[in-house]
Amino acid sequence: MKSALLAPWLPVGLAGVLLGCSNSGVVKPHAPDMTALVQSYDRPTGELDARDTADIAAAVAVVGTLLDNTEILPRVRELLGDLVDPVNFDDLNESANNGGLRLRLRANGYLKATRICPGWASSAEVDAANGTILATATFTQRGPDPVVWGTVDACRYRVGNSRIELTPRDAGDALRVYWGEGVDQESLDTQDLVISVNLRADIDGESAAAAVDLRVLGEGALEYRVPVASGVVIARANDDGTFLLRTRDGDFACDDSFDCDLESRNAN
Amino acid sequence: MRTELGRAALVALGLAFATTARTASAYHTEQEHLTDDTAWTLAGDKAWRIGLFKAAVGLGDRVSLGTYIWPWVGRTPNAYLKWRFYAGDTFNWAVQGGLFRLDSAAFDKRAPDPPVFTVFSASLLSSLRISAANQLSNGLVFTAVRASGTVDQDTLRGAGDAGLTNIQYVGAYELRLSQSTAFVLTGRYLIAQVLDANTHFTAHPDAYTTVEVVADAQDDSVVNFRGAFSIVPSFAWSWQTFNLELGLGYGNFNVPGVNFMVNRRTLIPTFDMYWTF
Repeated sequence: MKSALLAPWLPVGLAGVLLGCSNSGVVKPHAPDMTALVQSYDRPTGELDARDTADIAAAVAVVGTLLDNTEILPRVRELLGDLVDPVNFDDLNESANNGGLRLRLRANGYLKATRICPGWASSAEVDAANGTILATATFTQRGPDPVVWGTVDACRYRVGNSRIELTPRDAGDALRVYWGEGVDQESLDTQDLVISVNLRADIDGESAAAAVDLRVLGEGALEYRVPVASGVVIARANDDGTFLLRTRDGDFACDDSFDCDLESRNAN
Repeated sequence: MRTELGRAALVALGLAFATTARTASAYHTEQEHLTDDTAWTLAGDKAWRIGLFKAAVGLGDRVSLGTYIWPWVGRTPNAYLKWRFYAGDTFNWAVQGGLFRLDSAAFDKRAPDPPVFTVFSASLLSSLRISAANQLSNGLVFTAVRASGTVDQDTLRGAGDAGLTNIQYVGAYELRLSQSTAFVLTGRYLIAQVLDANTHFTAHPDAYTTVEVVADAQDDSVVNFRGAFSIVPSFAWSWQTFNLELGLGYGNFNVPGVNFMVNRRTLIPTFDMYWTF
């Protein structure tokens, strides 16, 4: 009798091992960790020192000029739009609902986008020889995961009359974007984005390293993270050319040459 | 279909009664038992079973090797092996494994990329001899279905494969009313069922951009009927070689062999006839 009661545990154990070892599903590529960078925009560690303002102004000007000359931001936004579109489970749920079903879906996966650059010709053409921007994103049933990353491969395009070529500076990611949770096509334009680029921009034959990061706020304002002697401060560019300097001690209103009004401080 | 089944049932009944008139032996015995949903295998002097739904051969008293016939009828290669690994006076325990390969092209030649289903099932079965007239069998049935083909869905589109995994409990109580007649109450309960799908496809949102998507999705409430069940009372008549089962139950019909329960509760007529020799 005792052996009869023990007998089933052998196959149950074997079945358990088999079930435990079964592994269906996609192995997602590992996204870079941008947590510290994103947090640094929310918690600046530097303080306002009048001796730093010239350096801050210069750093902001360099990054602003680079962005204007290369128009990287609109290209990144285009790419993000291409990535978010396939990750939409609303139609799956809708079609299931129409069929009288309610799904409790769990999804996993990743996307790899390759965007051919328009080239230097006066009219853009689809030619892989013009280089590419490559991006990877992962997702769940809730939508895209928070980080998109990728690189560039001799990406050529024009900005006005200027010829631009973007190449990676090293073997690491040339592009990282933190776009947060739950992004969809509708919210993408108003989503805060933290963008980190690490590439070389060749503008009409003049090469410049572009290892910068910035935050694009939902309303369109840009924030630059500027290292100073006491830590990191955040300079937010306003539409009228003035700045809001966010520091460990509070926020300061600054004019276009970073002459800051110390009386205008708002505590964090 | 129902008419054909009814006609077949009448013929079977006629055959049964005719057979009864010829045979006097009793065939619900201590050596011979119902083998569907129980731990029992073909045993004694019976080595073969051939019927409407199954054909099987006994390899000794402990092992049966068989195949499902209807409705697969040659278009779906399948086999199962049952091993009664413990045979006692009170308890009998068995494991059963089955494999199906169902190429839907055999049923629908118009589909451009008809899915191919591979079904693996594993069961753990026990039969308890309460008394000479009362037998209680319990079983856990694990079934994994994997389909590969084209996923025709906006989100999970492209080439892909999908899997359906379920675990069912099956209980069968047998009350032997006479030497040739038994009442059988079979219950089935869908404990869990999970759908998972894998797909990879390439999207071209514009002329410049190519997006390769690799995705899998799972749903544990697929077709929204976790907890499906059926209860089927039936009578099983057993004679020298001929066996007949007739019953009428209610619940979610379970497709035999592949163990997929239909998402609608209906009356479930059961009818089987087979010969053992």
